[in-house]
Amino acid sequence: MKSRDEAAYVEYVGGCQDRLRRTAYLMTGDWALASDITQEVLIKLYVAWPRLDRGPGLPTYVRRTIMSSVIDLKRKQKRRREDVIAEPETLPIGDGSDGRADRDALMRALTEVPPRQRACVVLRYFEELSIAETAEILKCSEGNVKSQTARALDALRRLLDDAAWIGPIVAELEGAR
Amino acid sequence: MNDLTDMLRDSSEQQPPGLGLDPADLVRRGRGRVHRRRALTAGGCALVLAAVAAVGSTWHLGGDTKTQIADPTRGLASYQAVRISPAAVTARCTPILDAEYGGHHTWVEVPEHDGTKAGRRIETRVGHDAAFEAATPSGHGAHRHAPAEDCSIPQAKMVAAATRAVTSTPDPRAANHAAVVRACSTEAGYDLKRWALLESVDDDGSAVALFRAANGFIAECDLGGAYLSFSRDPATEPLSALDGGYLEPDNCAKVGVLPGGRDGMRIEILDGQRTVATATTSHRGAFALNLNRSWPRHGRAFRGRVLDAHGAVVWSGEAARPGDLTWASVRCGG
Repeated sequence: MKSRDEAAYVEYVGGCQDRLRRTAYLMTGDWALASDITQEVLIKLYVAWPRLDRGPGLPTYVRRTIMSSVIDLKRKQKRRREDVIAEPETLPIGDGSDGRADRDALMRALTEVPPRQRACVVLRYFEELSIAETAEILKCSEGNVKSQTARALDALRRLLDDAAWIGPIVAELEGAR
Repeated sequence: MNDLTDMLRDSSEQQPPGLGLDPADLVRRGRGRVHRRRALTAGGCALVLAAVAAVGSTWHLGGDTKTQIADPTRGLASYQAVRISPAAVTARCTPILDAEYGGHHTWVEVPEHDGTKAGRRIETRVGHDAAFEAATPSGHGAHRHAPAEDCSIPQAKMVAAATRAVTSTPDPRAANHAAVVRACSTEAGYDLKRWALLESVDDDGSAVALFRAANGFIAECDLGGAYLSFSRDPATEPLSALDGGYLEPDNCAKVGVLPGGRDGMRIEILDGQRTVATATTSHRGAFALNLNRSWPRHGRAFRGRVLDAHGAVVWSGEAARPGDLTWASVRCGG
């Protein structure tokens, strides 16, 4: 890679790695694993960098690679019958006395949702992407994104229903259907 | 939606310290990967002391439980690069990629840089990795931003087996040599039954293995990634070629062959003054090295060196190329 290309790569990596790691964390519930996935994706990005269009499509490429890596990991986990994707690191069901318990409960619920549904939630609600953008990343139809998202929200609602303190979010999820 | 968005943001805001990746380290690793691809493209002319990933092994300092295989000397196959047409590559890879990713897609092979002035080419050699992209759902050609998916181009007779292997049972342990040969053959779609299995070492639920053909080629099999890497056997290189090489354990275990093809050479990985992993060569320089139990989650710089049978240092990674031995933020089991 030419040096000016490397400089552009370094600049891009510096600006996006934190966000990518957060996305990977929401997909895996494990910071160390999220960091490893981010590292691997950014190395792949280096290899692909010379042939990539650096326009607006670049974030789409990177997000898709993150999602593919996590979903592939889950698929391999299934094949190997091993629990590669860890449970979230600290996930007590709290009493609602602070925001930490809410967040932990949400992360626990999120990790129980199937990977592609989880990806829809993360892309639509965390990355705040449109249905069309989400479909582009997941290489599926917009209708598929809608149905996967609805299933994910339904699952989250069921998983969070027992915790009374999570009521506003449950209501929100119901409203979002 | 805002509440959920805020909750997701809050949940992902509390990053533990020390997770930041050094862009310079990423560049170095990326260069290494490009270098390795080019080395393979050029027939393995550059020395790479393996780089076969593995996690969760049983072999580490003081606990040498690696499996050594008797080197068969008769009836070995010879390796020759076989090129097929691009259409045949796509035809052979399509069922495998469809099995891996579900559904039926139109797969389009992606040109990759090959390190020459011409710049790009598509892979057509059997047993080598080809990069593919799926066409968009609307069927209007490959998406230009789609990530490439690798397919190890299978031999014609192995397409069905490689397709079935996508959903096969867990990979075998390294000690089960017959199963390792079978799994490497089917998962990569390349018949290795008449290659000599020199080393195999456990990965996290799979294995990495090293094979040698009769005519001076080696194949590294990574069952975790279901791929093969072919290169000229470094045993045929002079020992001095070590000076041009580097150790690149970007994961926790590797198999390879030291230049010179000498047995009884000792490879040491050092953390400061402490030796954290060792390997001894056999079968004309073959080795298996595993760093799993000794590897810090977010590591420090390590050094590597090679000693001859008399204990004299014949190569030191730190002296030869310091940057290549800085391995940070590598996750290993345990």
